Amino acid sequence: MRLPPWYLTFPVFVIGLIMLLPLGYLLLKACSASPAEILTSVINQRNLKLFFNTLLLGVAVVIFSTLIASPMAWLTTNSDLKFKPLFTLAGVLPLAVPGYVTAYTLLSLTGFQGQQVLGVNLPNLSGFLGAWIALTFSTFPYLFLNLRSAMFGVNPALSDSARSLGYSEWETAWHVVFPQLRPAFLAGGLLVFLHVLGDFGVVSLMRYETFSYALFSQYMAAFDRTYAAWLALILIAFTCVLLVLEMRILSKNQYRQVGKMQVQPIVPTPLGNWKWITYPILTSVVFGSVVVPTLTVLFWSSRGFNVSVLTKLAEVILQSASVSIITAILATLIALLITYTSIHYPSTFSDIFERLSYIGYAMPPLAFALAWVFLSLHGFSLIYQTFWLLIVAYVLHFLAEAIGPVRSALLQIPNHLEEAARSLGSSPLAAFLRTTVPLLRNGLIVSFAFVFLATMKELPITSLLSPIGFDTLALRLWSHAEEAMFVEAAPYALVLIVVSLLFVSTILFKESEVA
Amino acid sequence: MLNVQNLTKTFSDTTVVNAIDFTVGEKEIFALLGPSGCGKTTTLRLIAGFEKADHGKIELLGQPIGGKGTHVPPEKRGVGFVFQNYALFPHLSVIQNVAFGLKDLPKAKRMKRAEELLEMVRLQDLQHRSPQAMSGGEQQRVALARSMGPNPKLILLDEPFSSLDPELRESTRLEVHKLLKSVKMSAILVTHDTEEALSFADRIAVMRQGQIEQVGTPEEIYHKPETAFVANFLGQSNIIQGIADGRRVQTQLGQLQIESPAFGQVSVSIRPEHLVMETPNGGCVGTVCKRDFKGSDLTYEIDFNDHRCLVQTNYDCPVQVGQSVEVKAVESAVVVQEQT
Repeated sequence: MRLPPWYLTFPVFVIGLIMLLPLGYLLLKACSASPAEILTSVINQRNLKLFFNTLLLGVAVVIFSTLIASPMAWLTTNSDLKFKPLFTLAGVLPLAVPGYVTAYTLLSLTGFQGQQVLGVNLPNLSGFLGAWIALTFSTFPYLFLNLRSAMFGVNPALSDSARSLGYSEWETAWHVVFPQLRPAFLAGGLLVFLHVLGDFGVVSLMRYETFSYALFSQYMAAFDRTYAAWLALILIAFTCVLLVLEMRILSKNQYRQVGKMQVQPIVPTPLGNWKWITYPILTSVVFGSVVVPTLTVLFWSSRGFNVSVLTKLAEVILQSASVSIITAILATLIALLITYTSIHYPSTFSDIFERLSYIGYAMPPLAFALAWVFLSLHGFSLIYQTFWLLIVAYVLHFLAEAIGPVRSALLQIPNHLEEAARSLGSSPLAAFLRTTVPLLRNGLIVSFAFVFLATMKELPITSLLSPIGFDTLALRLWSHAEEAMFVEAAPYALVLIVVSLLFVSTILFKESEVA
Repeated sequence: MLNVQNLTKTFSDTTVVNAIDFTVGEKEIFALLGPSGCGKTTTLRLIAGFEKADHGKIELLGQPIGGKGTHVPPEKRGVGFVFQNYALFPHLSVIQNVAFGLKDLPKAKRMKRAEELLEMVRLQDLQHRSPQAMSGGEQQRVALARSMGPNPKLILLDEPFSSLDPELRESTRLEVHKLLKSVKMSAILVTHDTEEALSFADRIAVMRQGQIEQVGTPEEIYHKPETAFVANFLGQSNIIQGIADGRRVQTQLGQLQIESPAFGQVSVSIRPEHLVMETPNGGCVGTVCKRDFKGSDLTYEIDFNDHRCLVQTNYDCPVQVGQSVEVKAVESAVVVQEQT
């Protein structure tokens, strides 16, 4: 084992520490209350109801997502569907539309407001039903992507084997294919559930009380900070349970291929007459998740268009973009530092610190933000309500998103390149800059794009930590939509959708280049 | 028991299997031998029912099971299949894999039968392992036991030894052969490995570009190739043109005997080990241009006016490169068709 040099160890160590700090402070704050207070904060009627609401929404979204994602994944991998790349894109593109934009769309298309757009007065879509639909449309791609890659990984020879052993097509699907896909179903489902748990934008707009929404109103309205801290801890605990489940599924059910895998192409199943309902249904999914939100936002934007709106919009775009660029640069650099250390100097130390970086990502953002509020209020009042606190929280929260692409790009670089450069007379830094960095370029770009987009769309952390007078697109959209001011909210939603679509296509394009 | 007639399969524009005919007898081990892409695996998949034939027919024990207009689904054919990568189910243990095909047996008997099958391949001690934790040879035996479970009428083996290490390949091959013979099972082996086909099969069909070039016993195929392709695919061979008149043929190497009478312009095949070198004595003289020492034997390449021929000798042959020699045949040559 080689120990990394101090200029790598020290920053990695500091970042890990900062990651743990707010969590520790949250625990401290929560436990500083009297035992009786703690007991009433944890065990009460309200928490039970919140728990039930959260669970119900999570399960409902997972089921609905499965119903959309599994046929879509099957059709784009195993059938003779035409325009497969297009429909695959359609399964990914909804990631570009943030959940709260979908929620905004649903709210502004139904009830009294919706009559102006559609000409009919649809029943008001809010509460559980609204949250259910909005979250499903914005999270089913996670399941779709998981299932799709799992379906590509199923060896067709296994099905042939079962057939030659006397199993019919349906029996084969149930006894052989489905068990191979089970880990992907479970892992994808849990990922969707985690997003529901962390979601704040949709549930707050739909006014459906889950843990994160209750946490926010508790913090905003009442000043019972202990209860808020406990709600955050319960939310974190809930998340931890799911994460542990997810990790166990992934480690236990990794069905490695038996024997040497020969990649056999999948023989597409002809759709036959099913195509008459397949194409309309798939098209309507694309419509519902991407086209309708975009058109709705366009409609409302056209209603209230004037110079003052534009000036304000330009100002907010500038603020949003600048904070996102700073966050993306910092997160990408830190991700490079951490992965570089853990790949070139593998040790328990680097391993632990790479894992630490996932804490900020896995923590529900609202709980994470609340921990920072407590910390800055009491420990570091200098940074309370500053731009820099917001950046620190963003960077730590999105660090894990930056690590993925940098890590896989770094792993693809052949060994000893830097050593070769050193033997040709470069200094350590020059060797790194001249060999590793150019080869990492695409990975770094993808990381930057991931974090930039995520920061642009971020809502819960922004809503708690943004300094007074500081606005982002997401925050403006949300606060207008919250008060049913759909015309005012529209331009911000429009810019968000356009930026998202642009970046998602860039990322897809660059990733296909990296692969 | 298996009768294949005029079997044809086309994928998009390429005819992969082109009007082939063959039969496989009771208890017979039949091999389809050929280079990759010759259509042998597709033929096997057509017999198993994984692919639908475009023309022709496949009959098993007199019953049509496939071909133009008939397609019995694979699970109804009673044909076992052993895949190149064994295709063991990764989510099931070894014994569950073997019991998978025994669903017609009552539950109680199922495990007992699976154990018997594992005993047959001497793996009863590993029945609770997952297939991932086994060596290639063991996985191979599990796959075989699994395919034999439902008592198939015929077993199809698709390159079953090719993913094994070379050291393991020969012993596994002998073991599988013994097993198939002991249970009197008919089998079709698909392989590109000549030695494997020669030692394993009772009869061999050599395939090339979707067609069968020759069917025969291993000895017939090796010693009496009908085409230049077969002669060359089963080991090295010299293909020489000449003028035949009855039992003799006049070539650039001199006069050679031939097996069966022929007349006029012909091509003949003669193996390098059936040729010897002698000091020039008034016949056709060639120059030794290459000497290749292989340990147990030597191969010489001899140039006769730009026509090269190979001679295999004992390891202690003193002839050196540059020497002039005559070549004599110790066996008769075989008239072959040159490929079109």
